[in-house]
Amino acid sequence: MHILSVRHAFEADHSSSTYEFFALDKLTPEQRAAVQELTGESPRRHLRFHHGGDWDLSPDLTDRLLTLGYDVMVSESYDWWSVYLSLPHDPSLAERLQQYECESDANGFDLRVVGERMILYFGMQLDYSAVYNAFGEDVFEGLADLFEAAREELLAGDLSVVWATYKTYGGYEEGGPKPVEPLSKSGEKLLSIVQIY
Amino acid sequence: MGTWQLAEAVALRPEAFGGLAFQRERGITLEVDAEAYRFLCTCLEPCPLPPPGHPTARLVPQLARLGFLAPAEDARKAGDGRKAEDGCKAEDGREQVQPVPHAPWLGDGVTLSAPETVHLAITARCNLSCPGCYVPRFDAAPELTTAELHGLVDQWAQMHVFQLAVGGGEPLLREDLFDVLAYARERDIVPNLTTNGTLLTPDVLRRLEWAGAARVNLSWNGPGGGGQGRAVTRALRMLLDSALQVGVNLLVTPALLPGLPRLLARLHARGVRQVTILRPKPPAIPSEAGVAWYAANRLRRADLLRLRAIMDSWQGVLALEVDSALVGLMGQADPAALRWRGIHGCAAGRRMCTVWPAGRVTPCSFLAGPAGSGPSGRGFSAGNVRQVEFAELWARGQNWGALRDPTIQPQGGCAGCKVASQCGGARCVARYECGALFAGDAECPHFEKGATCAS
Repeated sequence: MHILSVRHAFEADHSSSTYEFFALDKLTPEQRAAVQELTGESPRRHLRFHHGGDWDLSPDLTDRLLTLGYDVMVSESYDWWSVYLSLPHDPSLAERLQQYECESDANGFDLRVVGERMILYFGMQLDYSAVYNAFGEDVFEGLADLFEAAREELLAGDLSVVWATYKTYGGYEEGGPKPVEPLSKSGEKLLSIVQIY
Repeated sequence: MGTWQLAEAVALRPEAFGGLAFQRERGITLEVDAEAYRFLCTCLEPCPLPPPGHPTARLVPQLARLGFLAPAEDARKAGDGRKAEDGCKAEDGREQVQPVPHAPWLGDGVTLSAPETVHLAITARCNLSCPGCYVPRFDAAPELTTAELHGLVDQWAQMHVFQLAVGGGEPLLREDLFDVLAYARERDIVPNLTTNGTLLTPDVLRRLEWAGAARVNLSWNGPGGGGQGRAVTRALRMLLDSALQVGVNLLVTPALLPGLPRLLARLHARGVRQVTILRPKPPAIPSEAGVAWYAANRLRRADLLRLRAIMDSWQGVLALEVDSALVGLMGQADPAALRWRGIHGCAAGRRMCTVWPAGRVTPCSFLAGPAGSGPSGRGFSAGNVRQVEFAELWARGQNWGALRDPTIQPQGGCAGCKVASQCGGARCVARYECGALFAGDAECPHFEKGATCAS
């Protein structure tokens, strides 16, 4: 079940869409060549796509970059924020994470396995005054730093950021997943900046 | 967990590959596969949010963010009887896809069941005489009347045509323009307008807003381009102060190229965010003046390379669009990314067509020659809406066989190009330069240097 293409024939306003990819390690020459081929962009550790109007980056391109050495992707479009994390596929961690999958008005958390990687998606809306206090003016860099730390925690088995997302957008259901306590610093910080409109 | 429903502003249309969905308020067109189309059919009535892990669970947030799904209480009234109209049919508890009642076929995946956009040259009359104008003057027959245009809009609405691109000539010379635009809007077709701007007044703008025009594009022909003079900047100011969405069409000639960065900067400073770059194209009917104009103004490989560099430096600041004859400038892009953005190169006769002032239907505004031209020598006209229903003309596509034949591959330098399926060169340029619709575009900067039409 797929959307095959999204075309914007006229734009509704003068807003914009931005997608930023961050690689935690240096890209290898092979990865650099593949990124150049894929995007036509100079392959840097921080790759940015910005477009006037509501503009979707192809999910295929997102997946390919997240399996080509980029570990974190932060995007914003019309005040909807998304963060993707790329982790090595670990079946037991995947099973623990999947119980927190949730969706509410396009916000929430889910996980997909692409090749040898797990792609984790966090969709959220932000309380900008809390964000300013937490990150200053650069929300992209702030979120990238936050989720870089969260990625390390996840690899160490701490699911705090996933629980923080579930707590905000997953609702409370009888028999729902177990809360993560105590929350890590990343989990606390995420909980303080996300909101439901 | 709430329920979702297709937003009121969404139109659906089944196609051989699945279907199309069009969001009228945002101007977004989605192509979806058959399974996703059946899901959209389901959402004509309130549908509960799927559980995580279900195949639709990933689709719902995307569709909601793009404005195609809305919480059920904000969307259309339940059970409004639109299912059959939208090519949806529930059978044995499963949604099935069928042609909409007034489109006789589902298309074949290459050619759509109906145009996404019809280009309506509503009049051939114009108050300017731009040297590179493509409008053929051979239609001596009277223009379509208001009643005939209303009848056409009715047919397009029944076929689920999504948008109307109204131009001319100068469309504001047509007294019933606002009435036709308003009627299209009433029938859920989004009307857009292209004008030279010289006749815009505050009253005209109010009437365009009233008629529901979505986007107004101002044609700008460059220095000395047909006597627009200062009227263009005055028109631009008025448009930007209006509630309308505004774009600028820039016909880029070699003479305009050196000043293009400065012009883009000026447009951006004035508040323009949408600029469409047009490539000079050969005259549909080779007149002496038209041939001379094209020879002097065509963009050659070096010009196109320069244009690409300028566009690269502005991408992200301005929303720069190119016409289908310039998709080759995207030749460095990933074909999958182009496909995702719905870029199909020259769509003449397959996804769009032009209706001329007296009712002739041709694949586009440039493949429009009279008898004696075209692959069969019978011209490119499929017929006239005064004699034959539009749906039948579209389905038959008389004389358009070569444009619609999925087995014909681009030749020459375009053969083997990695973006050939998303570009394939410009049909009208290939035909003019090399005598064949699918010859290579020898000026394309993506070619190896020295490549020719057929080598």
